Amino acid sequence: MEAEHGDVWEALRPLCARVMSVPAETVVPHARLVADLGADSLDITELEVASEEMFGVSLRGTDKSGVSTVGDVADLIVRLRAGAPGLHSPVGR
Amino acid sequence: MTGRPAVAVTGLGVRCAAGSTPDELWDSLLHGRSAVSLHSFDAEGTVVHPASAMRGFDAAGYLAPKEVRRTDRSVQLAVCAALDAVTDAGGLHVPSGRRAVVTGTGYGGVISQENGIGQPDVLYAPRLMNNAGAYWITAKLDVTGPSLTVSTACSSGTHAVGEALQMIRSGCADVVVAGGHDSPLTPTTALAFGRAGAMVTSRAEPASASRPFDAERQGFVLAEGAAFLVLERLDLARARGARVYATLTGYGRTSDAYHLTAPHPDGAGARACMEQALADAGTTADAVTHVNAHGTGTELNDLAEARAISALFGPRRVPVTAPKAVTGHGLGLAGALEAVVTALSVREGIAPPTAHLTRLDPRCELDVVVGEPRKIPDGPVISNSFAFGGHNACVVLDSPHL
Repeated sequence: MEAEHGDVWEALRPLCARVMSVPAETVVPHARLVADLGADSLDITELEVASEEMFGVSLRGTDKSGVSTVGDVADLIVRLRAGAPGLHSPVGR
Repeated sequence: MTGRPAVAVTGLGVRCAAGSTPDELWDSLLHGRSAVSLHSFDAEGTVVHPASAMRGFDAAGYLAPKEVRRTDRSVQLAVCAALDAVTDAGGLHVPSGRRAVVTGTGYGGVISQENGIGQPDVLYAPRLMNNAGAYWITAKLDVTGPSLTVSTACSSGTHAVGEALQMIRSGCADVVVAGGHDSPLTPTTALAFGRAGAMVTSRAEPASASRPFDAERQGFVLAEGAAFLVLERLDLARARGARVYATLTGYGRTSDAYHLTAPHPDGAGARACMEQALADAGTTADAVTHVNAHGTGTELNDLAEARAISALFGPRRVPVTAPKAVTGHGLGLAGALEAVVTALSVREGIAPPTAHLTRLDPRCELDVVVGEPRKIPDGPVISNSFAFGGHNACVVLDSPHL
């Protein structure tokens, strides 16, 4: 799980920097997507689409109510890759 | 006279190879300093060099890094030129709801479109849509009145300026930021115009490849850029002590309904369009001091336009200039860029020369200004655009009489 998390983080960090057009050094685990990195709805959508390609998981349709920071996104991706049950909401979009 | 409000040109902004400010553009025109270069293709048909590109363009300071990612180059050029025009005007001095935006573009975000074919990202649609420029300008300038985009190929920029005039006359806005933009220097676009025979694809001296009305012309040369004007109710401009470059007094638009890409050879639609614009301005052909021609350097355009001008004004009776010899042809940009040039002509009392005109096509019975700039008296000046699709648009600018 730890190694997995490290791999995800290595790829997620430059992705977030690119999508939100912010310096990579500001993308730290506790950075909040909206409040700290200035993400808006287009950024979130772009991040979801890119994550599907990069990590092979679908963030769309998952419950993201607890997701606030970049670290939360990394955790969610790791859990989804591990096939954790109950994460997929019944409502897609 | 009608009771409709008079309209002033109070701000100008440009971004193109011939100048990143109106002053630079004007200087290029007065000195016949060509910004034109040719597309070159390798054996596979790939573009090695794009024509008349604006080198060193950077939208920093106008668009944040995230906004740059969300915009096509064409829109980046537009936002810079529009904000420059507003700065030049001394800002916008009416409430948000009385501000409007009209943009003209032929190709929208064609660079983004071609890059994303088969692999669109989340931002694909908002990057390539023709009205993207209008959105970004409204957002940057807090414009909550009307905004729209017109797309009439090479007449787009002139239609944008004319529609802006109508907005102010109709009372739905007091200030309109109006202009045109295009950045069509992609391999596919260039190949298309080259294969169609409209664009020059090789010439010994590329800088003089754009030769409107010259007997040795071979076609137009593509260019990119943006040009915007701030149009304002004249009484409001006077009240705030704004500098008035010119008044915008007339607008004409007609359609050839003749051919997909060729103008009607006798120039009937073009002539009717000029007549309509002059009538709208409340003036007549014999009062016109100067014609800023569409003058693309294609044989079909030059002959039809020359016939229309000499039929309306009389052979060789009015000084004509064709800025595309220096600027190249920026499609949706062109009419707006030439409206800027026309406003400067009115303000300075000067018709810039047409560069590279060494031997006037004898079939063009025109007094084309060549060599040195020529002084023109105060009075109405007309700017022409005649597009693929047979869309004709003309605007008339005049001296701002006190």
